[in-house]
Amino acid sequence: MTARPDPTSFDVSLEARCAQLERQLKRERQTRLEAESIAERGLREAYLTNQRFELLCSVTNAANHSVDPLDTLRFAIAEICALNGWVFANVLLRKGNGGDARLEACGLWHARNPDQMFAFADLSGRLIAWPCATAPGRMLIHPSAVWTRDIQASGDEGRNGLARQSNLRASITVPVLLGQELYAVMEFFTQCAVEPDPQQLEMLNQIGTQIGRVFKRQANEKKLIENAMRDPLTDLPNRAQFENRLEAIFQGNTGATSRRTSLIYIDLDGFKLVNDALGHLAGDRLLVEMASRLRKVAEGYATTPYPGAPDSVLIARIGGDEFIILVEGEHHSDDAADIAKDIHDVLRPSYFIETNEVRCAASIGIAHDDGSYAVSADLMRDADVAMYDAKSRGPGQTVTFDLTMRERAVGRLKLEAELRTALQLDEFCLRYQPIIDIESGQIVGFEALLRWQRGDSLVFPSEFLQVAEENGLMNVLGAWVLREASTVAAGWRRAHSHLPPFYMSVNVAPCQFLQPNFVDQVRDIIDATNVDPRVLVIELTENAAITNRERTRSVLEALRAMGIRLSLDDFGTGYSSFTHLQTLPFDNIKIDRSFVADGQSNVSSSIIDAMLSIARALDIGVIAEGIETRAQLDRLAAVGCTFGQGYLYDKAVTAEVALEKLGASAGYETPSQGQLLNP
Amino acid sequence: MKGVIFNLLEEVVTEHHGDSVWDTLLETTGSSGVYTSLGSYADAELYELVGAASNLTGIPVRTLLHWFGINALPKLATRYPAFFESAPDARSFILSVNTIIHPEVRKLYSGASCPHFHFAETAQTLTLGYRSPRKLCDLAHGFVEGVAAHYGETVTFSQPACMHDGAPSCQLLVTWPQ
Repeated sequence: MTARPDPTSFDVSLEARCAQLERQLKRERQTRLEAESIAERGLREAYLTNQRFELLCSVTNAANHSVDPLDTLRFAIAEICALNGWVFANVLLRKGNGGDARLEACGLWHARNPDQMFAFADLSGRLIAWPCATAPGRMLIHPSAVWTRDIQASGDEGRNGLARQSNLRASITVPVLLGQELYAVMEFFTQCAVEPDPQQLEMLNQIGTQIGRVFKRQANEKKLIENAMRDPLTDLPNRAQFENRLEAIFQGNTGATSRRTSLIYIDLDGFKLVNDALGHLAGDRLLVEMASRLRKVAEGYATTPYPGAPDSVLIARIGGDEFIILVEGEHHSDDAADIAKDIHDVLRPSYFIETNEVRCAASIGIAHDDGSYAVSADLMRDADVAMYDAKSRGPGQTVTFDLTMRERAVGRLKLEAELRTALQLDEFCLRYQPIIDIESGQIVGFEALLRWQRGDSLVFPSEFLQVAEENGLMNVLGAWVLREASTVAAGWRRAHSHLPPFYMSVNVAPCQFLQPNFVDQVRDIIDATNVDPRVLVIELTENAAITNRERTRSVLEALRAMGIRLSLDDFGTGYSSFTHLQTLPFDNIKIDRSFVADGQSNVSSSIIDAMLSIARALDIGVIAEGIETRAQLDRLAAVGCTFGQGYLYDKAVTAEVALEKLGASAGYETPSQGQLLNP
Repeated sequence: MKGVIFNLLEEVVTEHHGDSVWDTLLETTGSSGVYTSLGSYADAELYELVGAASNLTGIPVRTLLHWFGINALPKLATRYPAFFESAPDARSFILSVNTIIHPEVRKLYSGASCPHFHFAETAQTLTLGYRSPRKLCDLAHGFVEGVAAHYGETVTFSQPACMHDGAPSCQLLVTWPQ
């Protein structure tokens, strides 16, 4: 059992009891005061937190609704000063990059009593701070808020002593930043020393972030607008910007003012080939390079002052490989012609993508506004038409628009529609031109040639192939040709076992050859038609062969592995024919008709001579194209050319006639005696 | 009226006259006497307590309020030393009432109806314009004298205008000797 204290031992006198109670009362009072004091501190804290939260909310709200970060900053610094009783605030904006990075005041400041600190405010509003130890300068080095309790005590000169004159004491510098990106700095001053308050700093940093969002948003919007008006790949103005400008010129034209504009429409020849052969990245690099060359030409005219210089020259990229230059000025027609000439010059040097040497030429169409154009789109259309005309004349041509072109353009559109219909109606057919052993006069093969049975007339490819290529019909047509020729060859062999050996030579267009699944297509056609692949010869032009040599080689080797033989067509017209001959596995070369026709000249004769020597050295067959006269045949025979084709032997004939000729024992004519070179 | 005023009154009365007098005042007025600085209480309760004190002592209410102000000031200084530390002299302390002290009061007690003083200064004088339905110019007068005493300054005090005399506002003129 616990011993209990004896209550009687606590008996005290009344006086002592009173004293005891008074002590107790005093303690209670102290306790109450302490409790009140704790509660008051809590209330004060809650009040401040709430006020700061409200400030943050109001600044965030302002930031959300603001399009101009300076408006948000104006609002924020006034609110912050009002809440804290701070007397001055100033805003500096981040300018420059790298070594040029600095903070510049923008004249945006807030003062409780502007008249009493005007000198300080005025100087602050023009301040430029470089990275340094001063509070704003430090933001550039380490963007984190700086709170100085008393700048006067810290010995800070405070803007040449003006801070002291205005009795400014504490300074609080807050970065406006989002992530690592510093956009601006807010600086605040008080007129009494204020201890740094971490919670307050945290809130100010958050306000800085909210305003940073407005800067970021504004920067993004600016970028969006720029992107909408600029081609991101080449950094040239885009079609939208160009059309705006052209439209503005047309809108500004009145009857009284003369129109002085020309459009130069530029389409890069050879770009698509590079894009298809080396891939889009290579194509992009080529575009960037060519765009940069074009820009230099345009800028040269735009910025060089000389008498009669154009008022303005705007270059834009308006499509994949299409550019346009708008020339304004009194001598716009002459300027446009000069610019076009310079463009051809500047594009001429080749360009290397990795180890691939690539070239671009330009087809250029020019249209002048002589005042007859009512709408800008018509001027643009005519420049486009002229460009198409230039393109049809081969790479590197300039054509100025005239009215006959419009008719031709309309004709081209019609032709395109007709081509599509022709494909559906099966209006295409093949003709076969014999290829002859020059020595014996016997047929060794045929070249399958495409024709279009358009009503009663037979249309040659020269009239429709370009349109077919431009409209993506070439691959369809090319596949059809290969299938048809294979079917015919297989049929001949099946039905007529007694036929002498022959081959069927089929032309493949560059775009067709560059299809990623070309080898598969050929294999499918061989399977479907049951043709002996050893009968097939594929003719490829140099353009198609050289664009991506590695890929060309692998495709050619795959074809050869199937038993197909390969001819390099139009030999001698390309850029560096002999090199390709050594590195790519061709079985034959076909000497272009231009050398054969011109065979009497010493130059062509020497070239043919050289071609034959190399072909012999590489053990490659040689076929001369376009033999039209006996004299040509004799000369070719004299230099040792083994095979030939041309009107002297036969034109291209129908399959029936071709079969007949192949079966006939009588051969074609042979060279005159004494012209044969014994190899 | 903020509870702190009742607390100060209790402290001053108890210190000068003993706690039984305070108890008598509470008894007389029927007040509960439960006042905490965290609370607000009807202005009438203060007037009743001061009125009861006046009846008990025969001293006029206005004189009592003046006396209360003078004697309450040291207790305020004990409770809230920061306000006094940040002001170097009586003038700057009085001037900080609007800008520092009353804003701080509002931080603790939202909705506290603190009076706003209109100040007019010369080198030797400071005029406090006071306008409040409470008409507690005598308490303010007492506080001002208490402040001067706190800083060990000698001032003379006059009141050129008073709401008790029908003026729209009270003018409390504090003069520092040359």
